[in-house]
Amino acid sequence: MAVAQPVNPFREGLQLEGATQPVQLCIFGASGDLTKRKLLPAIYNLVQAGLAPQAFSVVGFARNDMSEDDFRKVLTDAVAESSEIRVRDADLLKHLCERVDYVSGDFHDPAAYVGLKARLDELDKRYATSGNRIFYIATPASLYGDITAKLHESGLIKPEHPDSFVRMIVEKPFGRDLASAKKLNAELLTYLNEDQIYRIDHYLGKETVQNILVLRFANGVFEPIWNRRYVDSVQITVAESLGLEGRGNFYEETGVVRDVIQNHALQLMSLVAMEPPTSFDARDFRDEKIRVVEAIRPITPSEVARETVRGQYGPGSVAGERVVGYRQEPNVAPDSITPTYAAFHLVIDNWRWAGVPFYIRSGKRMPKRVTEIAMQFKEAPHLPFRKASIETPKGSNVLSLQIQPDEGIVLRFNAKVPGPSMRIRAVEMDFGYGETFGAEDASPYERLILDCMKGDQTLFDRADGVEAAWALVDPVLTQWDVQRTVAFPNYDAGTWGPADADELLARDGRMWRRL
Amino acid sequence: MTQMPDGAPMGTLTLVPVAQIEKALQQRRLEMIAKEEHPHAHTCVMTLIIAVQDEHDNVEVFKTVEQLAGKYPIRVITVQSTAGRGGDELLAWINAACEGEPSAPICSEEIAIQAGVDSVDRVVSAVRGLLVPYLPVFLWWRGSTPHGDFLWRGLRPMCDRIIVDSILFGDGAAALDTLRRLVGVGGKRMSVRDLNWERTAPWRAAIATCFDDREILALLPDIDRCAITYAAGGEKELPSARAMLMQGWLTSRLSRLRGHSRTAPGKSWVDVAPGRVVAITLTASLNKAAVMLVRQPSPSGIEVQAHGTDGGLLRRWRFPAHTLTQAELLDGCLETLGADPIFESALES
Repeated sequence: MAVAQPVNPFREGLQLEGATQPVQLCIFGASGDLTKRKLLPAIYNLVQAGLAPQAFSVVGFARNDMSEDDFRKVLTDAVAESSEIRVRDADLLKHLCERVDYVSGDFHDPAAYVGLKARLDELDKRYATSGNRIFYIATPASLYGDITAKLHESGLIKPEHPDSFVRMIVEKPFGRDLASAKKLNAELLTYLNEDQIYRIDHYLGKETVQNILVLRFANGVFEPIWNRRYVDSVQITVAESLGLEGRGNFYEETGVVRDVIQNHALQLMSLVAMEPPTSFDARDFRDEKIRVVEAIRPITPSEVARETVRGQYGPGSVAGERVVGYRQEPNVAPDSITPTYAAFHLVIDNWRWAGVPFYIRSGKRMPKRVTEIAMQFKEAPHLPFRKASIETPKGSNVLSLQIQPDEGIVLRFNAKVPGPSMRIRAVEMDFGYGETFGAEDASPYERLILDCMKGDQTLFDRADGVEAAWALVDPVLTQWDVQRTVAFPNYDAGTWGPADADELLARDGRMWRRL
Repeated sequence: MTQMPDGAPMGTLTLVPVAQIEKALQQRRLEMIAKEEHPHAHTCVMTLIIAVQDEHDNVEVFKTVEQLAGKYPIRVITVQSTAGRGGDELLAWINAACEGEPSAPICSEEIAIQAGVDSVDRVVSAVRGLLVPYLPVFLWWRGSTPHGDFLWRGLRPMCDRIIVDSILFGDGAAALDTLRRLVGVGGKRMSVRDLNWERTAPWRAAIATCFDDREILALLPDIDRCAITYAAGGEKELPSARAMLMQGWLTSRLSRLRGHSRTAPGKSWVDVAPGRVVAITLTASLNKAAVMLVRQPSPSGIEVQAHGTDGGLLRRWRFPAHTLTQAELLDGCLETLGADPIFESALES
C-alpha cells in the first residue's frame, strides 16, 4: 500500500507572498534574443522580488557552443541593459549566477538530450529542486514537436515522483493557420497532458489586461450595462508606430493577422465580451473566454471583402521622422502583399452581444503606439436640452480601457459648461494606473513565468482556444491569398490606415476613434 | 519652534491653521498644477495615520513616509502628542508633493499635527475630519503598548488596520500578550499587523523551502523538537518577542512541537540587534534527523543543513538574506486589508 507523502505544513500563507515550489527552469533557445531581452530580466526580477523559490536553478540549452560562464555573462549583461530591471543588486546577481548553468546541444540530436538529462539531474540534487522542471521553449514553433518527442524519449517529460511536476511553456505563434495549429497541438499532446502545456501570449500577462476582468467583475456598476441594451459598439485598437525593426523575414511570413489579430486582439475581445466565469480557476475562466471566440460569427469567403480591410504602409512620416514604406524595408519582397494593417468587423452571436458590432484594427507605422478598448455606449434616448449647443455629441458616453502605453481607464461623458446658457461639452474622468499604483508593474513575462511555477494556467491559452481563434481568421487569410491583386501600399506611414477602413465603419454610421 | 515640526526635513512643511488644512492642501495642489508639477486628477488610495512617539521618532517617520509616498498616492497624517508642548496647543503643517516619472507622478499629501497632552480630543476630531472618504484607513502606532493611551482610544475606532511593532512592547511575553489583546479588540472589522512578525518572513520562507524538498519532507513525521536561539542582549536577558513569534508559528504549523519547543539567548553578536533570531533547530527525539538553520554574518544569509535519520548530511543550502527596511516592512502591511490567519494562529500558540 502506498504511503501518503506528508504535506509541507510550513508553506501555507507563504504561497500568497509569491513563494512557489522548488523548480528548475530549462530554457530551450537560451542563446536567442527573447532569452536575453525578456526571460533573463524577468527571472532576475522574480528572484529579486523574492517571488521565485529559494530552491531554484536556471539551465540554458541551445546549439551555440557557449560555456557556463558565457551564459552567466549573458545574464549579467541582460540585467545591466534591460530597462525592466527594478533594483540592481550585485550580491543578488552573484547568487543567481551561481544557480545558472548552460548545456550546448543540437535540438535534433538524441545524444544532446542524454547529456541534458544528466546535467539536470545533477543540478536537481545540488539545488534541491525536488525533480520539478519547467521547460521554456523559446525556439521557432517548427521545433516544438521534435523537442517534445526528444524530451519524452530521454525521460525528461515524465515527472520524477508522483508529486513532482514537469511543465512546458511554448511561445506564440501557435501555428500559422488552423491546420498547422491542430498539428502542433497534436504533437504536444502526444507526450504531454494539457495541464502541462503553458501556451504563452504575453498580452495576458499585462496588468491592465487583467484589470479588464477586475473592472468588469469586481464592480457592480459596469456589468449591468455591459450588453447590447446599452452598448452601441466596441472598438479595439492595437496600433504600433514602429515598422519592422529588422524583422523583415519574420514579418513577410506572418503579417498583421497572424502577428496581432489572431492572438492579442482576440484575447482582448474575449476578455471584454466573456460571461462572468463561475470562478477564476483556469478551467472556468478559459471555458468562458473560448466560448466568446466560438460565438463570433464566422466570416465566409464571400463576406471577407465586406467585413475586413487589409492594408500595407507606404513611405511617410511618423512622429516627425521620414520612414520608408513596407516594401522598402530590408528582407521584404518589392512586390510583397503581406498586410501590415487589418480591420475586422465582427459580431458575436449570443444573447448579450447580438447586434453589437466589434471593430478591431491593428497596424504598423500608425501615428502612435496605442492599445485600447473603447466601449461606446448608446446615446441618451431623449435630450431635453433643445437649445443647447452640444459639442462632439458622438464623442461622449465612452468608456475607454487603455492598455498601453499609458495604462488607465477614461470615462467620457457630457457636462455642462459653466455659464448662464445651457452648453454641453464632453469631458473626461481619467484614472491613470501609474498615478495611482506607481510604475513598478511586473513585466508580463515575470507574471506568466511565476504563474507557471505555481501551476496556474488561467492566463495561458488552451488548445481549443488557439484553434477557435485560428478557425475565425483562417477563412480571411485564405481568401486574401486567393485575391492576390491588391493595390498596396494603400496607406501612408504615420496615418491611421487605408480609407477602406474608415468606410468599414462609415457604412454603419460610425467612425474610428481619434486616438 | 513653530516653523517646522521637530524632526521634519527643513523647508518641506508649511504651518497652517488646523481648520484650514484641507483648503491649504487644495491651494498647494492648484499651485503645483499651475507649475505643471501635479496632474489635474487627484488620486488617493488610503489614509495612513502615524502616531509618532516623540520628536526623535519624527526623523525616522519622515524618512519612511518619503520612501512610501513614492509608491502610493496617499494622505499621511502624522500625529504627535507631546508632554513638553503647552497644554492645549495644537499645531498643523501640510505638504503635497509628487514623485516618480513626470508622465505618471505619484502625488501624496502630508499633514503633521502636534499637540499638547491636553489636546488629544482636539487631535482626534481634527484627524476624523481629514480622513479621505470611502478609502481604507491605516494606523501605524509607533509607540509602546497602546492600551490605556487616550490618543489610541480616539484613533482606533476610525481605522481598518492597525500596524504595530511588538519590538516596542517590552519583553517577549508582554509583547505577545499586548498583540493578543489588540487582535481581540479589533475583531472582524479591524485587523492587526506586526512589523516584528514581518521580520520573521525570511526564516519562515527558508523553513518552508527546506520542507518543499521531498527527502526533507520525509523527515517531517520524525521531527518533534525545536529550539530557537536569539542574539543575546546583555546581563539581564529578556525573552525575545520575535523568537516567541517564530516559536508560535512553528508550533501552530506542527502541533506535536507544542510543549517541546524552546527559545533561548545565544551569544551576543556585534552587528545583530539583541532579540533577533540567529538559529532555529528542528530535531527528532527518536533518531538523528535534524534541520538546522543558522544566521551567517557576512555575506549575510541563512545557512541550512539537513541531516537524515542516521545523522548523515542530506542537504546544505544558503539563502541570501535581505534585511527589510522599515518602509518595506510597512509596505508589506499596507498591501492588503483583512486579517492574517497565519499570524493570528502563531500568536495563539
